[in-house]
Amino acid sequence: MFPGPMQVIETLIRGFTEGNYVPALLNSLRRLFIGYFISVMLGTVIGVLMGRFKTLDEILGVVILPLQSVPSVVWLPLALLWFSMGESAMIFVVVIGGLWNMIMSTTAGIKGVDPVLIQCGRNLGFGGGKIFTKVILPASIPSMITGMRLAWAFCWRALMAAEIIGTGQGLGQVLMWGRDMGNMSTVMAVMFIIAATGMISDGFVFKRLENRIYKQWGLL
Amino acid sequence: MLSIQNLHKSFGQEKVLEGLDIEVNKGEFVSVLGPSGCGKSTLIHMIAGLESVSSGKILMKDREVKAPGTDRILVFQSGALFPWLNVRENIAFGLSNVKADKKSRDTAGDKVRIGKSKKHKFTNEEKEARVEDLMKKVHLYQFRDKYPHQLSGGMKQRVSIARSLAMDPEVLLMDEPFSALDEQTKMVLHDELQRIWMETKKTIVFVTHNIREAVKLSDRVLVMGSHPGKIIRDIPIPYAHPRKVTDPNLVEMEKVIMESLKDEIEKRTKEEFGDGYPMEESGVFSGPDYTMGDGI
Ligand SMILES: Nc1ncnc2c1ncn2[C@@H]1O[C@H](COP(=O)(O)OP(=O)(O)O)[C@@H](O)[C@H]1O
Ligand SMILES: [Mg+2]
Repeated sequence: MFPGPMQVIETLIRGFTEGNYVPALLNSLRRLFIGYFISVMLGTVIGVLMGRFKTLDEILGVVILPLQSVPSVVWLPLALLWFSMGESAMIFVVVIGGLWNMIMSTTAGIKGVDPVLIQCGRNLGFGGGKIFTKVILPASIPSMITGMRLAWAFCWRALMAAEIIGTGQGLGQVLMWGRDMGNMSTVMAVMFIIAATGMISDGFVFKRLENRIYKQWGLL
Repeated sequence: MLSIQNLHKSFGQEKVLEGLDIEVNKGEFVSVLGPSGCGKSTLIHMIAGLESVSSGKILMKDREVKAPGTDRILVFQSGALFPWLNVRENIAFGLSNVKADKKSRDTAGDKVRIGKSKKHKFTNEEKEARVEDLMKKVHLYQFRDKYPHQLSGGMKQRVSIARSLAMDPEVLLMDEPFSALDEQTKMVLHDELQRIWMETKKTIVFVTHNIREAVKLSDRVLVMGSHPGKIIRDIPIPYAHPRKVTDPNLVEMEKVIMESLKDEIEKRTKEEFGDGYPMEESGVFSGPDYTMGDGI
């Protein structure tokens, strides 16, 4: 039933050298980057607005909670109807995947700023708008970084789910192709790539960045 | 310079300050000494304009204090440094909100053109010059590119003091700035603050619960009682600066202040432990310890 590790490694090597793993990985990463970028930007803007305006926070807060418990791939059929293009629909799902975490982390960061720092800013002569840009925003960077890390992980999951269901040339499709062929070692090899991509980006990029920032902000 | 008249403060039902009258003269170093919870932070935040007044008045050069202003700068107990800025940037943080005067133009040297009006916005050269000058004053010049998390508690508090001095306020307000530091660091910083005060002739209102600190640094110690907070004694410390804590005159002053706090401490002890606490045998007033400064 299960292919041996040697067989999977062989499939991996062959997939990267002769097969279509490289273009598939690049395709997936492109979607991921575009979707993630939009997700983080949009999440930051909405999160900042929610952190600043209490009414907006209360209204959107009620909406976001149930939305958050909807797996983002559930949006795919709707997205396909809206965009009619598989590519945009998949990117939409990726955006949704990271969005809620980015919003919630940003809002939490802004609301959680040490009030002494705000008092200190006022004491040094800054007023409303300047307090926001010079104190509140930088003070919420750690929380935003956490949001970015979570968003990355969720965007990645969302993309894989969308690719398995949707069309186009990505890792998800290679996985499904392996399944259709009954080729277990291809399935395992792609699962390995998906896991490795997620782990490497999280461990080498986000965890490190997060650790550094939290340490500097005195939160570790 | 600073005049506080019949000041009251309540948080909801809780009366925190009741009928405070305080006059602080230009160039004076005044300490407000009281047990924790008596309302010292509340008082100094009100002077800074960060906390509203319930009734009474705070006048700064005859103008009523209603909001924060760069004529009154507070050094926070925790230092309140911005973790994303290094030493240099922290000290320069508020400079865009104050005007430069002739003094800062002089320190900026010939990089700055002469002939401008007397007070003007800081130029970048002037900012740099002032920040550099202050970093040297608090002996942090070699740490100018370090971030707060790379500094010791004492260094952070020195940055905080430098950041406040950079604003060149009329009154420097300090809320237990050294209370979180170890004894040795504290003593070094006492000497440093005393030197800075003698050099700059700043008016300083200094809040503390440490008798020794108050006696060493101040021209005048206002002793506060609690529940509700009020000034119970106004004790001048008429000795020349700089002072040594071992000076027998100061040790004597510490005793006087301790004595004036006796009733207050007895009251609080009863509140906290009930009537059964043996005040005399406990050594609160008899041992050599209370002269160590942290008596209350
Ligand atoms: N924002 C606030 N809301 C309600 N009570 C407060 C607030 N700030 C201080 N208090 C109360 O006022 C009293 C004095 O506090 P504080 O001024 O911090 O004392 P101190 O600085 O002398 O230790 C305390 O009993 C505290 O609980
Ligand atoms: Mg206090």
